[in-house]
This record gives sequence, C-alpha cells and structure tokens, in this order.
Amino acid sequence: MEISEYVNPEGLRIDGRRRKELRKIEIEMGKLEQVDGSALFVEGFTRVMASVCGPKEVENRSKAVEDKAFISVEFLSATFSTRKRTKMSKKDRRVLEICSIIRKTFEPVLQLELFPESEISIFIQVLQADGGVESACINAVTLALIDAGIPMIDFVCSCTGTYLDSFCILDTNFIEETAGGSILIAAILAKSKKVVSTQMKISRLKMENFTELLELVVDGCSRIYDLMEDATRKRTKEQLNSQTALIK
Amino acid sequence: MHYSKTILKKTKRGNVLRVVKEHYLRDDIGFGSELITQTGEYKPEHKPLLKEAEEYLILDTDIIMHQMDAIENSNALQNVVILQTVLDSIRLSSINTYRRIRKVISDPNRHFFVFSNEHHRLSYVHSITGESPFARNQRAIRKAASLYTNVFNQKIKIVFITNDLENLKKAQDEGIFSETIYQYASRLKNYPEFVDMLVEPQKSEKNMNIEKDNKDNKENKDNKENQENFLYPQHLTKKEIFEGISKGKYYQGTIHINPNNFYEAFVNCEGYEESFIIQGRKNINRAVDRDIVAIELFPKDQKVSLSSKIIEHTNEEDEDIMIEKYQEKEKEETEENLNLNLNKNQNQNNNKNRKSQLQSAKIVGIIKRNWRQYCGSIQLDQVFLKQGGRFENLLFIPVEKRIPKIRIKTRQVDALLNKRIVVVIDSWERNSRYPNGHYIKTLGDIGDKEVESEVILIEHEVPHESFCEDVLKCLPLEQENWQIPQEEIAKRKDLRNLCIISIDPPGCKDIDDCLHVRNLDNGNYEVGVHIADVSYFVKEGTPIDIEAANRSTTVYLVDRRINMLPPLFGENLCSLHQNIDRLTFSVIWELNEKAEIIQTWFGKTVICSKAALSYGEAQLRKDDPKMKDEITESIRTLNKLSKYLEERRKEAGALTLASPEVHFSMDSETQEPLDVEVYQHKEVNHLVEEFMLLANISVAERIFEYFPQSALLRRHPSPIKSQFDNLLKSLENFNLSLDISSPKNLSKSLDKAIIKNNPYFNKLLRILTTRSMTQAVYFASGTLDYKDFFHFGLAAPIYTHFTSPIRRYADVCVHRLLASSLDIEAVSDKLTRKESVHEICKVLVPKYGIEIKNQKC
Repeated sequence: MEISEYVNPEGLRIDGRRRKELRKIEIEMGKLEQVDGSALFVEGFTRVMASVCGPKEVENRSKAVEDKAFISVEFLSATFSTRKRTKMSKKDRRVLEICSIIRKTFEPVLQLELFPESEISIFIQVLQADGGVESACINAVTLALIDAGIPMIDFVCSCTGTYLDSFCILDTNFIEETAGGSILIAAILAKSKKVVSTQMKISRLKMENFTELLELVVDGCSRIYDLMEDATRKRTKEQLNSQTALIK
Repeated sequence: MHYSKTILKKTKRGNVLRVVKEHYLRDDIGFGSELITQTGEYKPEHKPLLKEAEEYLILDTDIIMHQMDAIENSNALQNVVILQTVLDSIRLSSINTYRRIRKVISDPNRHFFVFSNEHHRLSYVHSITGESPFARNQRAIRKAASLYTNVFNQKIKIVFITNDLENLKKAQDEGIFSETIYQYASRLKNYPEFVDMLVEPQKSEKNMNIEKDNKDNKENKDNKENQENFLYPQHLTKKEIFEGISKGKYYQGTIHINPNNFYEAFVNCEGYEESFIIQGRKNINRAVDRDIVAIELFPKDQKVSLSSKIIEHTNEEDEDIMIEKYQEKEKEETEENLNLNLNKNQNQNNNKNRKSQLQSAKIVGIIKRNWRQYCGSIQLDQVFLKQGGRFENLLFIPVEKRIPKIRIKTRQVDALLNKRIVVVIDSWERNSRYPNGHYIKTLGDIGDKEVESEVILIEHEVPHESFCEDVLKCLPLEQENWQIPQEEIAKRKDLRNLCIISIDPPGCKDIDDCLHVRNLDNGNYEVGVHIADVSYFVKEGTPIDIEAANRSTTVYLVDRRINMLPPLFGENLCSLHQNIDRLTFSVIWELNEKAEIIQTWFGKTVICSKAALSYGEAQLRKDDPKMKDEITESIRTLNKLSKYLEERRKEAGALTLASPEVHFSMDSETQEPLDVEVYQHKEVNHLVEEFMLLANISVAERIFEYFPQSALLRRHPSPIKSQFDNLLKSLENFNLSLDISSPKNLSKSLDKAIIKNNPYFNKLLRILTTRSMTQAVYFASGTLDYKDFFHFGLAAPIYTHFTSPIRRYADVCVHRLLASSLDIEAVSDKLTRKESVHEICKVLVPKYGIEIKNQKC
C-alpha cells in the first residue's frame, strides 16, 4: 500500500518543493581560526563543517609520497545528527566509504605535485544529516580547500538526485533518500562541466531514466556552483578588506 | 520564492525519535481560476475552475469521507476546491476514499481543483501548543476558505460546505459563507437524485445516543425491558475484540452467508480446517457476507449439522413466523444432539453423521466491513409514506441472495419502481431489522438484457466502463492505418518469409499466438511460437498499462466481451491477422525427431501470418489426404511433434481434467444466443495447447534464471485432502477411490475409475476433481521455495503465462521480464523487486466467481 506520495499530482514534494528545486543553501567560510581553511555548508537541515590543514609535514612518515602531497581524510558524524542516536566508529564501513570518495574526488583536482612529501589533511564533521550528506561533504571540502588557499584546477560541486515513483527528484532529503528509489550522487568540475565522480545506490535503473537523472543532477550542481562562487568572492573581498585595513 | 520552516516532532514504535521536517511555503501557488492571476505564479498550473460558474465550493473533510458516493456519481458538485489539508487527512484515514477522490479530481469534466494550502504563504497556519491536530486542521481549512473568500472578493461566491456544526458556526463567525451539504442540496434544482445519494444526516449523533444508552444498560443490568427494544446484541469494541483474540477467547474469520438459507452462515478462520457454523439472525448479528468478524464458540458439545432447509428473504411478518419455526427446529436439533451425546455407544452411522457436523458459534463483533455496491430493485409492497416527510422509506432487495434487504430513503419513488438500481449500505443499527443505505444510480429496466448483463458485471466487480480519454490518448495517432516503422523492423529478426499459421476458435478476433515449423538440414525441426508483442504498444507506467493492470483479464460474456485492451490493439494492431505484417515476441526451438529440445532462442520478431485457421478448418486440412500444400504439411508435422510432447507430459503425471466448456451458438443477425452446446475438443486443439505449454515453460525457466527474486510465475498447489473428503466419501459407494498424493497417482487412479455402461461417469468424476482442487495462482519467485513452484495440474516444475498478452495482464508482465532478460528493454524496479511483483500478483487473481475462458491451465 502506497501511503506516501513523494511527488503529489500537484507537483509538490513532501516538504513543498517542486521536483527540480534545491533546498535553501547557506555557506559560511573561514570561521575557524585554528585551521588553514574551513567552511560550513548548510543545505536545508543538512549541515556539514569541513576544515583543512596543510600543506604541512607528513605526520606518519611511512605514508609520505615522494613526488606529491598526500591527502588524509577524517570523517566524523555527530551522534545527534540523525533521528536515532548512533555512534559511528572510525572503522565503520560508511565512514571508510565516504573518506575514500572524498579522497578519490579531490586527488585529480588538487595540484598535489606542487607539494612533494607533504600532507593535506581534511576533517569533515556532520552536525545534522537530513539527506544528501555525501554531496554536502564534497561541497564543504571544496570551499574549505579554497579557503586554505590550496591550488585547485576547478571548483568541485556535488548534488544528489533520486528516481522515485517514476519521477526524477533533485536534492533529496532524508525521507526521499530512504524511500527506496535509485539514488545518484554526482560531482562535477564546475567550469569544464566534467563529471568527476558518480555513485549509485540501490541500482537498476532504465538507461533513459539514468540519463535524465544525470542531467538533472548536473544542472543542480551548476546551480550550487553559482552559490559557492558568490560565497568565495564575498570571503575573498572580506579578506582583502581586512588586509588593506591592516596595512593602513 | 519564500522559505520558512517548521519543526514537527513525532514518536514511533515506542522509541521517541526526534523527527525534524522542513516545510517550505510558496508564493507561486495559484487559485485554479482564470479570474485571479498572481504574480510569479508557476506556469504549468492548470485552471480547472470555470470563470462562468456562480459559486466555488470548498468541501470539509467529513463531507468527502462520508458522502463520497454522492460526489462520485452525481455531477451536482462542480467547481470544487479540495484543500491539501483535507486530502492529507483522507489519505491517512482511508486510502480507498483517497483513490476515489483523486479519480474525481482528475476528471476534467468535473472542474475540481486541489489548492495546496499547506504550502501557500498566506494560508499556512502554525499549530498552537495544546491544540489537537484535528482542531489545527479545521483552523487551516477555515483559513484557506477565508483566503478564497477575500481573494475572489465579490467576483464569485465561495461556499464552504461542512457537516460539522461547530466548524460551521466558527466559519460563519469568520465571515465565510458556509452551509451543510443538506442545505446545499436543497438549493439545487437540476439534480433531484443528489439528495437520495447523501448519507442520512445526524447518523453519527444517533449512534452516539445509542451507544450512550447501551452504556447505561450495561450499568443497570436488571433493566431488561430496555434491552428488549433492540433486535440485535451489541457488538464489542475493537479493543475488546483484539484482547479476546489474543487471549484465545474469540476467533477472527471471514463470514460467508449460506445462499440458500439466510439465517445460516459459515466463518472460515485461518489455521482451522473446518469452518464454524452460525445459525439464527441474532447470532449472525448484522454481519454481511464477506465481512471480517470476531466469533465466540458455543460449548464444544453443541455441534450442529447443516440444515437442509431453504429460507429466503420474506416479508417482515412472515419472517417472524419463520424465525419461530426455525427456533423450534433448532431446539429439536439440539435435543437430538443431546440424545446423541447421552447415547455413548453410538453405532458407526451416527459417528459419520457427527463428522459432518460443525462447531457452532456466534458473532461478537465486526472487525472490518466489506460492504460494496449492491444491485437490486425496490420491494413493491413496501411503498408507504412517512408522515409529513417528502422522503419515502423503501426496502431494497439485492440480486445477491446473501445480502440482506436494505432500507433506503428517496423522494423519486416513481422513477425507481421496476428499475434495477445500485445501493450501498451506510450503517446497521441494533434497533433496525435491516441496514440503512442510500441510492447511488439507476441502471435501467428490470429484465432488459443490457441492464441485467451490467448487473452481473457489477455484482462480480468487473471494471467495465469504456476506456477513458487518458487511455485512448496512448493509442497511435494513425489509428487503423498504423504501419510498423522501418527502424523497428530493422531491430527485429525478420520472419515474414516463413510459413506461419494461427489456429483459433472460429470467429476469434484477438489472435495472440502463431506457429511455424520447418525441417532443418540435420534432420531436426525448427518450431516457433510467435506471440503478439503487446509490450511494444503498452509501455510500463502509461495510463493504458495501469488500466490493463486494473482489469487484469478480458472477460467473456455471451453477447459481449469486456476487453482488457482497447479494441484497436486487441482486435487490430496486436492481433496476428492473415497476410499482415505484425510485431511478435517469439520462442523458437530446435527439436529432434522425438520433440526433445536441442536449443531455444527467444527474441523479438516481425512476422506475416500465411493463414488464420479455425480449429475445424485445420482439422479438415490435416485429415484430407489430397491436401499437400505447405500449410497442411506444417500442421501434420506439428501434430506429430505435439503427440510426443503430450505423451511425455502424461508420463510425468499431467492430469487430463475436465471442466465443461460450453459454446453458445448465436443468431448471426440479432446477436441473440440461440443454443448452448458442449464445446468439442478436436485433435488440433491439443496441438496448439502443447506448444503453448512448451513456450510457457521455456519462458518461465528463462525469466527465473535472470530474475531469481522477481520472476512472475504460476503455480498450482497440491490439493488439500479435506477438500476431497466429500468426493472420496461419495466414491466409496462405488468402491472406488482416488490417490491425490501426486499428479501421477491421481492421474492413474482417475484412469481406473470407470463404471461400465456409464461412459459419462469418468468425465463427471474429472469435473468434480477439478472443482475440488485448489486454484492455480500467480506468485513472485522470491516469495517461495523452488520446490513449491510446482504446477500440480501440468506436472511441471516451473510454469508461467506468456502466450496470451492481449487478454491477460500477467502475460504482459512476463513479456517485459523476458525482454529485459534479453537486454531489449529494461524494466522498472517495479518488476525487479519481489515485494512489488507480489503486489501485482494479488491484483491478478481472477475476480470472485468469474469463469474465464481457458483459465484451466
């Protein structure tokens, strides 16, 4: 028995959005002083804090790479972030998965060969999880890396979509994500529009639906990019202003 | 766009979870009428409300919950605004009503509009602490109504309709023009039948009063006089019932009224082989056929044998006499029983008698009503006027004998006499002998052929409306002139040069299977079965697909056919007519001399049938030694091969069961049925059948291999011993018996059961055996063990339906699965999850009591 309609015949989703609408996005950069770069990415009720230290000396010598920098990722989900209080250990499958996604996504984008035998460490903290956590993490990390001033070839923007009840839906929240549809998480390079990474959960999807979904998600990514670019410009302006003030 | 958020908390299953949901309020939701345009309105929003209308109606939740029949069946309510708050609360309380209202909303002629008031910035209300959700929703509804009143300020009158008097008063205080549905109905001039369709007013209050009375009664148990005013004992509350069931005091089951005796009913409880018997009006206690009820058993020694008496509905006065007689009889019976009990040294005969006796019980409560729409007519001698009222009370006699008479009110008596009408039950109170109901629609004159056919269809719940517009839109634009596109032919294997033939009953319009055979160089044969490619036309999830799934089969009546697919598909584009190129889905085997499969090929093809033969024609060709053309030779080869197949199947233990198939000979001009004759099976019938079975089995194996969880298969469970008890007992008189342990044994024992001088006896026995067996069912492969896939009747380890997609929906699903396994076209996750396939199978069960052509395998 279908109890819920994820998109009602009036075209509205459970929370009142239309199919192709993003949730409300807020970005704050550089709020932490102890690290080189930090960013808070808020998407609806999903809230992710990312911080970046480095490039610095490698802590664990054995992990050092001769000709380029090494990326370490640490992921932490607050126990209160989900509906049910759960504590994820550091070796939890989900934690390891997300860490490897982040590393694989950013390795080709960062110009690591500029910093041989050094380390760039990324810390991700999920404060609230209401769907689209992986995407929010990627976005937050991009912004934190920019804030830290690490050279990158492009912005990496990510967004989540799902194919549910024969509709493609953009930017899923927790209810939509757990509804049993096929979920697609994509990350793109904003300027070149290249897809850096995609992930599917609960697969089996018609090819034509997949293309439709991918197009929708890529479109969502580029809309998120506009917001991220604005935030970056604002942040840079602030920094410029404070520096010129100092000089004066 | 405007954002705002609310936080909702919710608890589930004892664990307190903090559920936080976002809630966006919008500026772009329109009012559904062309009179008002908002800035920034969302473009594709359609505007069904007519601007010429006099007034727009806003309905409250209770109107839709209780007056759904009136809303559905009368066009009186038009230009209606349905609020999202209302829809949400309906969906929570009754999914069925929700589906019905959604159907009305989607009808473009009704001008219904859904206003998403929960997401509109101006009509959203926050809940106040301490306020019940119900009160909050009512406030939201009033807020939306007042928003409409303000927005349409004088341009159009907004009428808020509610039967909740408290809400009505509050709404009036807030300056909304509001009425009850009865006030509104009395203003209507053009729709006299609308009033009849409404459920009676103050029903709920009356019930409340009675319940209060009952409570009082419970307190003063001595007050017996009051008690006697009621005709029926009180039903227990749901809570009491469930407590009783968990303690083992009560049992839950479905009630079946004896069609020959209205005061006798049986209850089948899950987990009990024997059903319980309920006798007498008071013990049946207002349960209607097919309700789910709770029963309490009488002491164990009170076993009752079935009464052989036939009691039908009678007039009220007679009825009482009948009841008295009946009770007397009952007493006698119980006395007899006591005697039996006393007499402990019973002889064998008595023992046998006791076996056919059933445990008696009484009904203590109703768990779920299964009321539907009933067809019938007005009882003529019951027409009397109610004092001072313009309504007349009438008694309605249903066609179905299991259903009690229903009391209805109407003010159009003249229009209803001698008509077949449709009525539903609203309630059945303790002080009323008959249930109360209301009129829904008139079908036509009693005795008219068309009308009575419709009665049959409604009584068996067959969807038989003509196809709606959405469905017809799915048909190709070219209609009959549709041609196969060249690129589609390029994709398929071209078999148009092969000698492909079809053999069907005479006059068959929906030909869905064709055959061909040809000799291969290595001495083997290539045999192909070509099935109409319905899934090419009927794409998953389209309106036509949903409609076909709902109908699930084509239903054949004497003079007409209720099609599953629109005739353009069924009789034309999909049907494999002679000398026309058609798209098919084929199974092609390489068979050796003994008809053993060497290899199998599946794929989409395009064919051109060389001959569409009837069984008779094919038989004649085969038997005529002079005929030596390609077609006849094909039939002969196929016949030879099919003999091997049949033999092998019989060896494995396939049953030759008989269900009498009758054929109506029709007058060719008037389409009146003239005569009934038993359908004669010819040799070529078996020929076609054998290859269809082979195709079905091959396809079943294939889809099970590729979709181990979600293959849609068909199984025939082994027979249940108890269902054969009666048959075996009667056979004892002839010194015969049946062994039902395996199909092979049953088949052997059936062959032996012959009485000399009576050739029909064996056939009769086969018919009775068929009736005693359980029905074959569809299932999803992931829901059962492989050993349970067994098809008892065909003695096949795995089986499905593939060969008749024009008239069975299951076959369409199987076609899609097969296509997906061949990488032709992917299927949606609906067909790849065992849960959803299981859901589909539930719908596919043939509707109760309907004979469906060729349904025997």
